[in-house]
Amino acid sequence: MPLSGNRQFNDTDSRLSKSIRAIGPLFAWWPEYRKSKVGVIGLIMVGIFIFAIILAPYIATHDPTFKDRDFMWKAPSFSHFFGTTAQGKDVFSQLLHSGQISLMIGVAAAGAVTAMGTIIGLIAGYFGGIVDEILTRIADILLVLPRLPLMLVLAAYLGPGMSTIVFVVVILGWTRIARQVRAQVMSCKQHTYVERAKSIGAGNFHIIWNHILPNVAGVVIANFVLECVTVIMLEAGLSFLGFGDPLHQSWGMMLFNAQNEGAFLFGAWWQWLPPGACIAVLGIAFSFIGNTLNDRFVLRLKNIKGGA
Amino acid sequence: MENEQYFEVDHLTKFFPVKKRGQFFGKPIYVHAVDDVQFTVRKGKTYGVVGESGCGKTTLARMIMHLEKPTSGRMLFKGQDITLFNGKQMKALRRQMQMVFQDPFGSLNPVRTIRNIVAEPVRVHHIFQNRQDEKIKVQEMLETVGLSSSDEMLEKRPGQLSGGERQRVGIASALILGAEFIVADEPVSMLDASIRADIIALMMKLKEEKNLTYFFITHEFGMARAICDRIAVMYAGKMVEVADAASIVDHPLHPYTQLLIDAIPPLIPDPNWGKNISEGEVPYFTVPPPGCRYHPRCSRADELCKSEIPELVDYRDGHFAACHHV
Amino acid sequence: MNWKWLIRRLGFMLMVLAVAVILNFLIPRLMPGSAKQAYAGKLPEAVQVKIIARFGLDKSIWEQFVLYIQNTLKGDLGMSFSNHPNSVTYMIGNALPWTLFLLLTATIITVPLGYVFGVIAGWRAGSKTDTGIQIGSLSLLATPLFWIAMVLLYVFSAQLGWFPLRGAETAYSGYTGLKWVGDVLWHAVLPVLALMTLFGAYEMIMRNTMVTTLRENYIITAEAKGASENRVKYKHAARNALLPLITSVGIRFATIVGGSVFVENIFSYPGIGSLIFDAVISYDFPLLQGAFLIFSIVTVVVVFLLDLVYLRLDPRIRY
Repeated sequence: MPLSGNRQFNDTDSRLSKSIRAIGPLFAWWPEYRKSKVGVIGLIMVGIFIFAIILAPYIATHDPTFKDRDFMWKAPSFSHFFGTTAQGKDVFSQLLHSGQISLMIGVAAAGAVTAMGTIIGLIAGYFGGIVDEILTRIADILLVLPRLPLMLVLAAYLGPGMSTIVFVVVILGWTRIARQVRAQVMSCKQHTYVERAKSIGAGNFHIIWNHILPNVAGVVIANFVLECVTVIMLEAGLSFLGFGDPLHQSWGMMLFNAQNEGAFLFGAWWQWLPPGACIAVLGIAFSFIGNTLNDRFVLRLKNIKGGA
Repeated sequence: MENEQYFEVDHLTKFFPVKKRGQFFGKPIYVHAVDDVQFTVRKGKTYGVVGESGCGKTTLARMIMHLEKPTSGRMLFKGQDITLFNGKQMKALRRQMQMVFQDPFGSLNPVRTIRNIVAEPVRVHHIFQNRQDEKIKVQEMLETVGLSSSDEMLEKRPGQLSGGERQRVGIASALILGAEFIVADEPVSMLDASIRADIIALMMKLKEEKNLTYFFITHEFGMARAICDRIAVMYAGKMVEVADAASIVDHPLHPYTQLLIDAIPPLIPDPNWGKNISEGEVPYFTVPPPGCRYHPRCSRADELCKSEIPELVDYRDGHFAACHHV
Repeated sequence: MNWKWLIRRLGFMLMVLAVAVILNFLIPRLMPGSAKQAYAGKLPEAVQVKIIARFGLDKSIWEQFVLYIQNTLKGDLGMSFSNHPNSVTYMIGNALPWTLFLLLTATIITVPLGYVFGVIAGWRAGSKTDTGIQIGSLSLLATPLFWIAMVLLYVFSAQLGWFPLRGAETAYSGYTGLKWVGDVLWHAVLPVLALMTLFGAYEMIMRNTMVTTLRENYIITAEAKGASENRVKYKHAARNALLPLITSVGIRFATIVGGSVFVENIFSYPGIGSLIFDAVISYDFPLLQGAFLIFSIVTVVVVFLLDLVYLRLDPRIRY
């Protein structure tokens, strides 16, 4: 699908405006993307979430940290949409504020994982040889080892906190993306225009930046979105186990609190059901988007028929 | 001196190791892609290499452009030994030596604009200080190869051009650095017949205007005869006949050359055409047969041919052939 | 029988095990805090001294390593902090069978489930059925496992009372024989159900391979046969697509192992997952590491067995 672009570059334009306009053709993917109903639904869902979360300070009905002694463990009502926790904190407000943390950490950690995976995949795929063999070997080993227990071992030593969670997720999570990127790079390397660039005298950096990366970008972006799903769940799981940062409540931490405060035994389903549901829904939304991106843009390039 | 050695190749060899699947031990087997090749290209002339697929001519071209490292042998450019040039030295050299590729579809990056593609060499070598000068040069080159230099053209992508136009872009990009030695690897094989003449005419015109030297690879003898000054015929990694174009066609000495000439379809249908052409395909030698490489297909072959490799011998005024039975 | 391939895989598995063992050794020593704390920190004095001696914690790194390997091979993984005087090995030994039971049951059910759904979805690629199944798989996979477990427990156990609230067997019941088996199964339903939601991964892989294989075969033999042959292609293509599925079961096993940590905790199921959970909460390092090691071994064994199955099925690498 040729990306058409009829924009004119005046050479007097600043570099910034040129960079922005260079992204223009990227939006050429919209007509294609729109064809997938599932993908659009996912986008809408994410949009709603982000919207609500950003407006948290304004939409929240109460201060999420305020312990209201009179309202402990009250079922959902008009004043407290999702009821209150054992300590009297409003669940709805907590949801909104914690959402900020969950989303931020999720996207940031996913970004870190994607970056690391892309770099490693790029190096392994482009330079090949023994570097490639070693990296692939490591990735294979990490693939077989049980990931969560290993993460827990590491996390136990590092103690709770956001940095622990991010570190642990990144150091074991890069393998999937690295594999995909490596495969894409290796197929890209075969193209004649790469040979041509070499015959012109282009250095490795120039070739990677100008010829390989544009072709790899699609894979990276699709995988980044899919990675968000995994990371959000992992963060929730790790927080649930107690590795979260009490000062920065995420949805996972809400679940952790729910378990600790005995909400389950007490039957206060409103304390643990909503946060989990949010995690699920956001995860589903991202996975719809990621799946559509994967189907339409990555697999299509390889002529595999997509589905949803 | 006009005719001094411009580009020389001496005992150039390239063996590719071939591993059988899962084979860890034992001696590796080698494919003799280019085997002890020798030639001299003179400035301002077109040197043609003719051969069928698999004879090693593309490997030869790639070695010249330093995209492959020779297993042994030397290459000299303007008297200087460039065989072992490292990246940095090569980079300087590439301003004088450029390649035109066979595939107009694959050799241009589909996501880049024509302007970026043609400008790429000058960007890599940091020729211009600002984009304006660069743009002027790009437009100049596009006009030189017979393409429009409008802004609209500059912003197009390869997918929007025809095969012939793409190849012109390739040529423009090869010439933008002012290179005078052009390696052309079957530049028109993948183009439609009607376009070929245009591109060849363009290349010849450019040669005159800019005093270029071509190293022209092709599998079509007729084309080589039309545009080359000197022709080398390659078979299974070895040069079997080297001579001036007229001489090689009028008096072909090697049986393979004869075969290639006979295989050119006549313009006037001849019922006898195609009858005496021998069978077989160009082999892909791992362990080359002893003696002359061509003997399995040769009508003149005898015991001598099976045991001794014929050397390139000058039979008449620079007309070389490697055959025991000329 | 292709021995070369087998030996290479075996070598790889051993390498993975070696890495797990080495990691287990290195991590406590590289992390903040000393190795002594890691092995003996919260134990009473007298026991501390014994542990330090057994693992040579005040000797050089090399001596420690040697002792570590020796101890591991003997089966001595240290003393659990929270449960001493029980050794780690003892506790894991008790818990392992339960976990294996859950994991294997879940895997045995999810793989065919994923296979069937994947074949259906792939066969009708692009249709509403396909889209529906895709949405289902994606959604299940994106939902946090422990939350699903919570929901299941709440709805089917706490509210409806159909299944027990906790444990692998009814405590103090004294059941034996068939009654015991039935009891165990009854307790296992919900946990396995929770683990089963991971079938979506298999379904998607199966579907994608199905789609690619079908396109190839379909086009080639499109003009050849009539409608009844569709059934043959259905089975034939599905069989080809079976191979990548088997590989992915191995890869997914590590995920399901991770999932068991949460599921077992929610259902208070006395498996290794629960052990890990408790160990994490109480920072019981020896138990944590021991469990990791055991999980690694289990995963490696399972993956290797799957490799053998793969070898049997794939005629290409057989000879």
